[in-house]
Amino acid sequence: MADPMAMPGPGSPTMEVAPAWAVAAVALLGALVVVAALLDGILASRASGGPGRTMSGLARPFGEAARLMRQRRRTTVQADTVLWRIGGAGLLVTAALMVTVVPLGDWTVFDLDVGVMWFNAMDVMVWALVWLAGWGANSAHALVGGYRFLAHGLGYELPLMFALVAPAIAAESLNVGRVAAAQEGLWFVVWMPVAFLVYLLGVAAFSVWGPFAPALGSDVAGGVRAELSGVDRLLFETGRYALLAAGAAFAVPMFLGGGAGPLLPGWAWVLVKTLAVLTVLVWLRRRLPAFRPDTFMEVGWMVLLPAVLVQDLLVAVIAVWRS
Amino acid sequence: MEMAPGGIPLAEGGPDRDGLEMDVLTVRLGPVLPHWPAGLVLHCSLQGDVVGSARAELLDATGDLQNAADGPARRLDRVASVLALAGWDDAAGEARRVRDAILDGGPEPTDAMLARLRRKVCRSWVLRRSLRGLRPLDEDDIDHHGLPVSAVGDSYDRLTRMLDRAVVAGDPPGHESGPAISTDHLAHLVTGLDLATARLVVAGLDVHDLRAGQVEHEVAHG
Repeated sequence: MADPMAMPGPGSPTMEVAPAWAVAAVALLGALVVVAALLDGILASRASGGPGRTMSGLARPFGEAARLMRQRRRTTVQADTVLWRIGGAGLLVTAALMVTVVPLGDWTVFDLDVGVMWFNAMDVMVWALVWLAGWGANSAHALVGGYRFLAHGLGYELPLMFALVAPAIAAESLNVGRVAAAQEGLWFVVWMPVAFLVYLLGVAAFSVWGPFAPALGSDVAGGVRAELSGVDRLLFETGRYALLAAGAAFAVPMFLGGGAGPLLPGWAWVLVKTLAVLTVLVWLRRRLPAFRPDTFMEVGWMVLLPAVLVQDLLVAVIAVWRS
Repeated sequence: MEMAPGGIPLAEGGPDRDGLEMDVLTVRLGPVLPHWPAGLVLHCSLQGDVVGSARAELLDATGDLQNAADGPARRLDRVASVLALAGWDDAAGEARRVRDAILDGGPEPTDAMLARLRRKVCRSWVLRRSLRGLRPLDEDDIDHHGLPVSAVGDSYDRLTRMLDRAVVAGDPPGHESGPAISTDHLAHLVTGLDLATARLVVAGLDVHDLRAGQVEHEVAHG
């Protein structure tokens, strides 16, 4: 079997668009962020009490954004300002870099031969960013939040990497467009469901979302974001939603057949599928208690990692047998 | 030589559990914290996020806590605290709603709401996993620490018991409040745990009443 890394660039099924279109990609990401925030606002207000709360839920993200934009920036004594700001603002940048390799139907901003690795590199960068956001404030609570994120990271990162390996093996390519094209007829989610589920968990984890939110826990005054205020906090929260949205978007070419689907054009299908995955991720937060950071590594290494390795093995055997 | 950039002394190293050295941060928890017994102050030495040693004190210990005739409502408050600390905001919100319904009166619907909450909590395997084995206490520990009998078991047992006892509405206030928990013992209970589990353990103890300890000594891990 050919080494996927050795696959040449030309002949990729997707077309690279002019770099200026990156602005459109970011705008699209922004729209997904707004949708995710609205959805979370509605679900939160529905959970907090009876009927008729949907409208207040819809207003919630905008009200919160307006509040944060007017809030004065709080500083702490001897904060490591540069690193702190890098950590706070970096999540949004990382999410934007992630979506550059996600093909929207036939177009992609950045038709990289190793797009899957690119995405993986970006999600590893989140480790540094969240840790720096916790470290930079020079606050014990924020620091504890940073520790908690790293503890989760040790548990989720390897399973996530191996979950990304499965579609790449099956497609014999690390080019995201080719992985999407390789699902002609049968989506990868159908025959690698374990990898898909582990991938979704990984997305929630690097977005510090839902069961992976103890790093931002109320028991440590908001953890990593304890001292973030005003625009810094708005950027951090937006970055989390953006990571969630980017993770959902990347699931589409990796597991859900890319732009494949009846009637609608490819780009529309990508958006529909992205929204579906994003909805599931947002909703997940309501359903699950947190995974404790100090015990999650056990789950990650004793359950998720073996499961996803077996999945990889199965996929590899099938890929060899087919070729 | 002690350095104090910005007026804050640098953290000093101290022996850690693994035999290595790690910075010690002095952090005060309380007296006012969400999901925390009112007035309790825990002076902790943190290494990373592990409570290396702790000293508990009680502010405004004369406060009259016994006029709380609403046993089930208070218990649901604590249930909500544990659930919120376990990172399950939805269930915590539901517990608070049941509490409000109980305080408003009207006995019939609250029973059904409580039963639903209990089912929801007991069905969650993630919650069970995160609370099982947290600070297990047997009868001897209970005697030793002067805790109520209902504190036997781990945090999960204590949570389900709190729910059960909230269901049995209308038991006379003070009937099973037992002896007040001394702050000295509380410090013992959280030493050696990390911050998150320490908070879960404190919230999960059915603390009716805290009593300032006679000896405000420091409790060190080990």
